[in-house]
Amino acid sequence: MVMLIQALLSGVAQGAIYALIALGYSVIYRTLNMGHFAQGEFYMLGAFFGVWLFTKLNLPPIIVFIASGLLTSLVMLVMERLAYRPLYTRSVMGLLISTLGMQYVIQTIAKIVWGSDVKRFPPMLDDSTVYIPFQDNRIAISMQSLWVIGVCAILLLALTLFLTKTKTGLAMSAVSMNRKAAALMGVNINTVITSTFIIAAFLAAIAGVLMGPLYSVSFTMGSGIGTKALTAAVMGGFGSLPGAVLGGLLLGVVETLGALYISSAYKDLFSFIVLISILFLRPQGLFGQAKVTKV
Amino acid sequence: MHKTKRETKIVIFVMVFIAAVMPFILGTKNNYFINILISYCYYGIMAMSLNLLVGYTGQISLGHGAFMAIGGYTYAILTKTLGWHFLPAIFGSLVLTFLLGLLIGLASCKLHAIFLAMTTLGFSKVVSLIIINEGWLTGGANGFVGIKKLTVFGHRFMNYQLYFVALALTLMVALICYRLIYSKTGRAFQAIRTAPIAAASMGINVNGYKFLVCGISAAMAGLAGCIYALNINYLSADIFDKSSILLLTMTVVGGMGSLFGPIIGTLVIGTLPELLRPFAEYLDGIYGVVIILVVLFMPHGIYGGMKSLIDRKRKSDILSEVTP
Repeated sequence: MVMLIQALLSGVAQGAIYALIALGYSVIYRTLNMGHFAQGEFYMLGAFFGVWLFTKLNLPPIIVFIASGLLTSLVMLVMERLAYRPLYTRSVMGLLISTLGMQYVIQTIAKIVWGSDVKRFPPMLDDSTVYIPFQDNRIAISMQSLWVIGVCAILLLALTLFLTKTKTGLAMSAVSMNRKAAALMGVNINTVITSTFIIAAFLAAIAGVLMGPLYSVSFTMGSGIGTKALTAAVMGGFGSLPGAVLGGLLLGVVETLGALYISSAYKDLFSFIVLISILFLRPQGLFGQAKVTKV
Repeated sequence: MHKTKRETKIVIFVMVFIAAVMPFILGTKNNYFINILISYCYYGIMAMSLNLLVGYTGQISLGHGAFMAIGGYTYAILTKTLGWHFLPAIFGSLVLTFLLGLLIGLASCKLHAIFLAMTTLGFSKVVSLIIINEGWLTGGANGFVGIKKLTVFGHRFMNYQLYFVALALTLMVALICYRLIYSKTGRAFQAIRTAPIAAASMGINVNGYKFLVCGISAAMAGLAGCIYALNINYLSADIFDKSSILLLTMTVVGGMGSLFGPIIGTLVIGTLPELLRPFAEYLDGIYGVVIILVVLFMPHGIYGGMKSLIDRKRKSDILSEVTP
């Protein structure tokens, strides 16, 4: 029982990270109706910027978070200008493949700048363990996972407020519903699309800084977690924010429980089985709206 | 039947001729070049099969390398572990990949675009997981070693002879693609890509054709896997993991939805690693840059770009004839 609760907690913490990156996917899908394969690489960039700012410049944690988020967003802005913007008026397939190429470009840039060896990220936040008495035993909770869950919750709240209350957020919904009509109403489409990419990069970078101290930092860390987070976003219903969060948490919990009770070698298999069964029962995902195609 | 233009026929003839005399020019004992030539064959088959799926039918697959892996491993297990003759072994791996392709077909009937892409990606992850973890069957992380060279009636095939077998198989696949694309079935595929609902209302069995194309394309990938196993005599999961993206690059760079595109893409992208040996560490990044540049400046790939250039020239020729 104690083991189950501990596993659930660490699963939720892992899932919260998936959820943060998945939120980025969902924001992009809402506006552009497509995926973004390079999303995981911005998680990696965030972690690298975090390590650099924290160990070399000795900045306080809160500034490390914000600054690495902003630096990653800046990289995203440059990349978006160069490789994505000319494609907005063409078919989605081209843009999708461009993001696939971007994934490898960013990986290689990170490899050139920071080298290919694994870096250690010293613990930035409180890394002690608290014990809570439970029945005749006690449950160990690491403060780190509580921090992860807390930061994810705050960011989710901020994102929801941004999307429903601010002008740019509302413009994003308008663009996703009808791009042409939104443009006619005076919404600057390019700015809106750029800001979705920047939000996605920011969220992924924060996730990278959060996860850096728990694992080590290397230039290959992004692609695996990017795929996982995409699975989470697809599972929850692509484009839906609560869906992305729920999908992320579900994926994290399924993975930890599967690794604990069944087999750790086949950890990735469980997430695939869950993805397939959800997609076959509800092809639009858990929270997604079924698309009705008008002819 | 579709009429091929005379120029196209000449181009095809010249290409096949060059491919056939290449080993004699480079030297039949030069294993380095022969291996590159054989790699063009199996990657060409893969790119053509992916083109059938993505370019003509519009079903995105990010895990096509998995079928190559399944084909190769099935061949290896059947010939080495079970001691089968090579012909039934190739046939067996074709049947298996065809059936597993139908499984992906089942997914593509139900799911659209990104959802299908995710499923195929997950499928390829699962295949490589199984290959790594089931060491008793596949050799696990060490890879499958000691696959026998092709031997017919006691005659052991030299590398360049294997190349001719591979070339013949590639031409056969190209011919199948050609016949398929210009048949009723091929037109149905293209209708499904451009307008699935209109296709269904015209009486095209959309789901049936999706099943068919997934099966055929997977079986072609399986054949490429067999050639790979015969050539390298060694299999490991990580090679195939990477190849899914490499193949997508080849198809996109060459030009999707055209018969020549994937072949051009294979020749260009397949040659890059050999030319860029000193930068092997940064090869992925170079692929990335090439993908982005092609998408930005040649939306229909190299083939599309060349075609529009030729069309423009022809148009200006006609104009100059009309106005002296």
